[in-house]
Amino acid sequence: MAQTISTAEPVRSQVTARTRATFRRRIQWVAYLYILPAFAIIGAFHILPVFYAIYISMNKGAINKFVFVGLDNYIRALSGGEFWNALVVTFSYALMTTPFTIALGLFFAYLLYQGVRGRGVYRVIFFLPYVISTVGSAIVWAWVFDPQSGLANFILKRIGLEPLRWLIEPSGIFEVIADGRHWTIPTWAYGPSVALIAVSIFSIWQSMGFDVIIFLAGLTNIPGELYEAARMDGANPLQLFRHVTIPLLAPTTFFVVVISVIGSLQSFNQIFTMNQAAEQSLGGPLGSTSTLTVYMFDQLYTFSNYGYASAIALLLSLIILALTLFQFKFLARRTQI
Amino acid sequence: MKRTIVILLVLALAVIAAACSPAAAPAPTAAPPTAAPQATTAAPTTAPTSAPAAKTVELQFWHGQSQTQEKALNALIAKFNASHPGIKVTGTFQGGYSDLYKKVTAAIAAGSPPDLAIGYQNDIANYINSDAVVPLDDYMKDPKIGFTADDLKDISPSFIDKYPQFGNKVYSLAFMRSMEVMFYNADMLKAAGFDKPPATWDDFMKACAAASKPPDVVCYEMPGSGAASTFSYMVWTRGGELMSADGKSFTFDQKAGLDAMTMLSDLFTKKYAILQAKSYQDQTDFSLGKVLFTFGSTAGLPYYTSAIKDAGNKVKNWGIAVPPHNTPNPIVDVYGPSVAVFKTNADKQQAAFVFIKWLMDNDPSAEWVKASAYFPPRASTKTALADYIKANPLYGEALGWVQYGRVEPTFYAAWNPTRNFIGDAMVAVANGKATPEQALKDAVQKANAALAGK
Amino acid sequence: MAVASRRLPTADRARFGLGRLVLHLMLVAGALWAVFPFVWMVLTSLKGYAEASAAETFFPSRWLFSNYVTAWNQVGTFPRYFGNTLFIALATVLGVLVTSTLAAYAFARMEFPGRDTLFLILLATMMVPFEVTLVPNFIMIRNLQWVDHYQAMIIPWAASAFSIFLLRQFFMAIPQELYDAAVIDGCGPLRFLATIVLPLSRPALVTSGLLTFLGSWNSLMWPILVTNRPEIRPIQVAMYSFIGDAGTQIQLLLAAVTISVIPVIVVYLVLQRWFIEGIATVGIRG
Repeated sequence: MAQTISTAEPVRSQVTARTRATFRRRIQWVAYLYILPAFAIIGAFHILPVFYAIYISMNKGAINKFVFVGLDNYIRALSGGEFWNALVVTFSYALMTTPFTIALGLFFAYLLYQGVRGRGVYRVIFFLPYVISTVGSAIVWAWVFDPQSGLANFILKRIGLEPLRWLIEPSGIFEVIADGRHWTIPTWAYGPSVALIAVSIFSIWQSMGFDVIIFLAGLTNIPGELYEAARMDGANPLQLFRHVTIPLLAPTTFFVVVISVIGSLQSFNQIFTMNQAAEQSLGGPLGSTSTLTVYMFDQLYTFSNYGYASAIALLLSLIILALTLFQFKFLARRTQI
Repeated sequence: MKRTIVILLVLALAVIAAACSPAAAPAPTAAPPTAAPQATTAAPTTAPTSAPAAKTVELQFWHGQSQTQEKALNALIAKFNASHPGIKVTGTFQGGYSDLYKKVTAAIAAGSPPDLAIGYQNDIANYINSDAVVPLDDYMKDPKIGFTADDLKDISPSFIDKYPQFGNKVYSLAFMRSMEVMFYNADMLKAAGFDKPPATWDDFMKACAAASKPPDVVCYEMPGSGAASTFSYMVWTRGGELMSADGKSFTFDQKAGLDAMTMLSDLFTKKYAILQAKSYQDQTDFSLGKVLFTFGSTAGLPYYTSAIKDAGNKVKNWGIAVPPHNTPNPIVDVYGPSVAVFKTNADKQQAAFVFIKWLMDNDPSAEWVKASAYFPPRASTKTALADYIKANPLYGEALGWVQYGRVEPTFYAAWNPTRNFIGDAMVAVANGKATPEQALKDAVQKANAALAGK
Repeated sequence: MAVASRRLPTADRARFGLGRLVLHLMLVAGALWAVFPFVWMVLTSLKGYAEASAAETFFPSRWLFSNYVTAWNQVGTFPRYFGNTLFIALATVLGVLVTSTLAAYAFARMEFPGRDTLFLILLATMMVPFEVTLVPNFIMIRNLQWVDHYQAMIIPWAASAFSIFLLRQFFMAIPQELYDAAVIDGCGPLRFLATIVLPLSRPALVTSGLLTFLGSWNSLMWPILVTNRPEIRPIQVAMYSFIGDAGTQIQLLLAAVTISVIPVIVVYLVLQRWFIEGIATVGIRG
């Protein structure tokens, strides 16, 4: 069998060759058999239920006593303020978590990929947050954010900043800052609530390990001789990162970005458990952490509005789907995936 | 089950060990997995809920009791099964009450509800809406298995749930209740010049003014999700009502409600009160002598006792009292989950009723009290509890207050969201985000919309 | 026949010379941020009730290792729970790896009508919140008569859009030349998948397996929904049994969480050998 990777080949052409689509081949009908097992399960447990949800979303009333109302639930969602508020919270939360999680994940994965001493220990440590069940870690973080005795305020005071009330502070971050300095700022400039920022910090902490693991796997998949070749060409570490790591890691990065966006837009567990650990109402304080999924959950179990909750869930799914399509169209093309 | 695993294993091996024959047809390897899920369908399985045995009526009883309480409940169930040959009850822990509600809802949708389930009344109201539970009035009146007139005199009315929106019928019965009481630090009260807990809300404010030393010592800590129960009796004890007499609208924004919310606002502006940032922080701070009063469930008594002891008895003298009241008699909020019977068949429904009624009897109740520190339905159970009361004097004290008990409008499905609206109104006032008037007006408006089914 | 080395060569390590200290400092800072809450959790699990809930001290004033005994005894059936969870998690991982490998391979390297649409449908399933699929899925499980059987906790999760997507990304990065060479050697796609793609994708397979394992290990709502018999329930049910309705013995809860995390860490330590070190050299045999 012939050797396929020639170390003499320039890096760039390698990149293109490795990531080129499989357009050269003829149609392989056998592919349907390959995807059949996965689709049988996913079809039964993840696709069929969506049709049920669509049906429910056009009804109102109690379980087993549904009354058909057409698109009323959708109209109600789109015409009321609560849905749009929740949408703003959802996107604020996604913007405050995803970029940081991905950047930190890549950063630490790259550091770990260098042959540092004790990397085995580090790898366990970075992964720990993702391992501990959220019930446990939420208790710990409620303590970190405790206004009186918590670690977060201890640090703020040490660096000479005003302590915050974190998880119980419904005011926007810029509102709090402006208040402290007796400035007046317009309502639209209040920014996300301090409580939402606190939950985001918790979320970044928890998800970082997940990204580290995936990036590590991606980095490990990059053939070492590509680095070797680039180094022979006189590349410094920064150039190596820029011209070898970044392009060859593109499929992994793309994956992480898509998955993180999907995950953060329907984030629920982290908010729910933090709310509980801090003795807040769901999506509290005062609805300032109420993302669309939290809002949906509340409608589902506090209000028992099954139809309306399903409509919200499906609207959210459509928004995520649109964003994902956009990513595939533009990001995927740019990274030659 | 085994077959599924075997199929998966074979498949995995087939994929991994694919032989190297040119142009090997991959079809046979790829085909089996689709068969996997279906193969198990055909596998002999027995549905646990549908076992129509010859004579014994089998009952599935879903509850949210874990650990010590689960053990005690299982012991009671075993006793019941032994003494009732025709009935076999199986109790299952299904997570906390919110998980339990989800599970029951899904089971109703699938047409396989349990025979009995514990739940809060507003959850049960949703089951009634789904036409999944049966009224118990006829069983209660039945001369053979029902309650006698003496029984009904003995049982506190707050253990028999009548649902006004559903013809005032009884859809659930309770074998446990707790109540919200005021915990007070007697040493701090004394130091501030009071020799007994405040009887009225004015006295309460005076005690707060005298004893609070913010930020180290405060008078009251409010849960960050608000405290709808506390607000409820703050309204009642001012002579107000949460709902109109016809049950058509909420009225907690009227004078009594406004007075209560204004007092709350004062507590926060004068820094006599703080918001909790962790679950049960008030319990902890009480045990450390940082808070004068807390309002909480009597079910928390064992936690308070253990926290105070564990903190090295920093708090030496403490006690519980009925909440302050401007009304002649005290009013305490009595609450707790109840048991509903699901629509199955006549035999099962009747057996389920027999089981609940038995749980409400003296001996089982007394056993249950010892494991849970809840209150029993019958006044006469007190006799059987003599030793327990001697060992737990605070419990004994509270037991005497059951006669002052009132229940929140939990029989309306809308009460569940309304509790959140009240909580948010309290949090908004505490944070200075709204005036008491604004906050209450907003909450009542939303609550009435929920009541109207919007 | 050459060997593709997949590790940053040792020559590179020396190159970083001066930056070494900075690198370590950053790693230590990151590690502290990641590990601190865990350390705090373990320390709190050794405190008394009042001290644990007050959270004002870092180290316990009295080290109550007995909390672990208490937590263990209060749950009563820890070994049983562990056994169930391990079985469910491993079976799910096996299922996910088999179904995802096949599907991901088709999506990455095969040409067939509707490929992109099907892939998008697959991805779209990740966008629907779990809560709205709860009821229909339960109805499905009940109609299959799987309630109270292990397969109810395994089969629905034995295929995952997430894993298919992840593996597809890795399979796409495998050079086309390898495939062409294999075809010349007379190998069908399945053999190419088994002997070349899979060994090359070991990090992705381990990652996908590990994340599936964790998801299964930490799931709670679904197992409670589809089971009634305590004998077949998984570990997380035990965690929730510590949360009372009038207080929570958080030191015991955290002790139980710590106990439940240990097996996961062990699994991770075992797998991590495969993770990076194991891929130092991947030979391509004929």
